[in-house]
Amino acid sequence: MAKVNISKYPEGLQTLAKELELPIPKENTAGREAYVQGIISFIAGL
Amino acid sequence: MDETRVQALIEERLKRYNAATSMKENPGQVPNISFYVTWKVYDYGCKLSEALLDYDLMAKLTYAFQERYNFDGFVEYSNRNQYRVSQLLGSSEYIVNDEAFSIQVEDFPTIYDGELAEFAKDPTKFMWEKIIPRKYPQFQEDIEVSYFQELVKEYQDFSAFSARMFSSMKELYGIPVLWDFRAPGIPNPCETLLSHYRGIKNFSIDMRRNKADLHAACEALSGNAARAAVAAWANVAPGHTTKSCFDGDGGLLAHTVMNPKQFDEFYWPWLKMYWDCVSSKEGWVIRTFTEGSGELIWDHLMDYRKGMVFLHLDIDDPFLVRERCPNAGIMGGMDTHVLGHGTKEECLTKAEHLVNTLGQQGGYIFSENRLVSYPNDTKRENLEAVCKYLEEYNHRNA
Repeated sequence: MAKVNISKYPEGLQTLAKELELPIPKENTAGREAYVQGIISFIAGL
Repeated sequence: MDETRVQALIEERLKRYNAATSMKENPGQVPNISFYVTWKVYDYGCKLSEALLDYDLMAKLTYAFQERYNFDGFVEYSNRNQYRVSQLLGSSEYIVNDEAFSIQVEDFPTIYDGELAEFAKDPTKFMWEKIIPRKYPQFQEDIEVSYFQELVKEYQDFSAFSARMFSSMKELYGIPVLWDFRAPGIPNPCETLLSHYRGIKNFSIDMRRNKADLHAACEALSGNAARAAVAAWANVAPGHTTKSCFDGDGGLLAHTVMNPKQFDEFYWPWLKMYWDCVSSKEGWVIRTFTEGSGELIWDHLMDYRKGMVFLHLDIDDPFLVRERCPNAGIMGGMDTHVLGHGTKEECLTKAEHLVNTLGQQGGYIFSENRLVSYPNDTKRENLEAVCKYLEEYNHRNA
C-alpha cells in the first residue's frame, strides 16, 4: 500500500480518498473525499 | 419480550412524552428519562476500561440497566466515549481511571496563540496541516495508508455500535429514540473552538484580547454551514414528531466561561439562528442541556413560544427556573447527591415533590440533574425505588 503525508493538504486528502477501501464507489471522488474529511474532522474533535 | 408488548410500550411511552411536551396542566404522566452515563458500567460490576473497549459488553450492560430500572427513554446510549478510536490513534487525551471510575479528558490547545487569523483563512487546511499533526504526532511524517484503513474500520465499528444501540433499545425494550431529527442543527463554533481547539483558558483570553480574530474564526468555522442549515429549514414541515419526544437537541457548555456580555456577543447569535428556525415550525419542541447554570439564556427564552424549549438542567434549581422561565419546559431536577448519599425515603420524597409540583403544572420530564458517572452518584436501591415510584405513578394516571 502507498504512503501518505496527511500534513499536506489537499494532497493527503486526495491520496486517502483514492487509496482507501471505503463504502463509496471509486468513481464518486467527491463522496469519497467527503467521507475522509468526515473521519479527519471526527478525530480532530476527539 | 414479545413484539406486541414492545409495540404497546412504544405507544405508551410516546403518549407519555406527548403529555409532557404539550405543556398542559395535570397531564397525569411524567416520563422518566435516564441521564446515566458510565454509572451503568459501575452498576453492572465491570471495569470501565474493559467496557469502553468492548462494544458487546457495553450493549449487554446497557440492556441489564434497562431491565433493572425500566426507564422511558435515554439521553445517552453508552456511546458517548469513542475510546477505541482514541486508543488506536495512541492519543493520551482520554485518561481512564478504573479505580476512580473516571474519564479525564485533557484540555490542550491545537490552535496556538496568534494563529486564529490563519485558522480563519482556511479552517480545513489548518486542520490537516496543523491540528491533526499536533494532536497525533505520528501524522507528522509519511505513514502507510493501511494505518488509515484500520482507522476507517474503527470509525465504522463505532458508527455501527451507535446505530445498533438506538435500534436494539427500541426493538428489545420499546424505548423510542429521544429525538426525531428532521432538520439540520446549527453548530455553535464557540463549543468547537473551546472544547477541541483552544481550550478553556485560551478561549477565555481570546474573548477579551482577540475579539476580531475570534469572530473571524467563528465565522470561518460555522458561517457557511449555518447559512446552508437555515436555507434547508425552509423545506422542513411543521408539527411535533410522532416518533420521539423531541424534534431537536442541543447542549450548552462554552457559556460557562462567559459573562452576559460575552455570551450575547459570541454565543447567542449562533444559538438564536437555530432557535429562530425551530420557532418558525409550529409544534416543534427541542431539548437544550445547560451545563452548570443556564441563567444566561433565561431572558432570551422569553422571546419564544411556550414549550418550544425544554431546559435539561444541571445545577439550576428547577423551581426557580419555572418561576423565571414560565415559557420553558423543564427536564431534570433529581439531585444525584440525594440519589448517592440519601436514604430511599429521602429520594422518594424528592421525586414525589418534583412530580407533585412541576409534574402537575405540566411541561415536566423527570431526569437526573447531571450526567451520572461516578459510583457515589447513585445507590442502586435508591434508583430502583425512584424508578418504581415513577412507573406506578404513570400507570395509576394512565
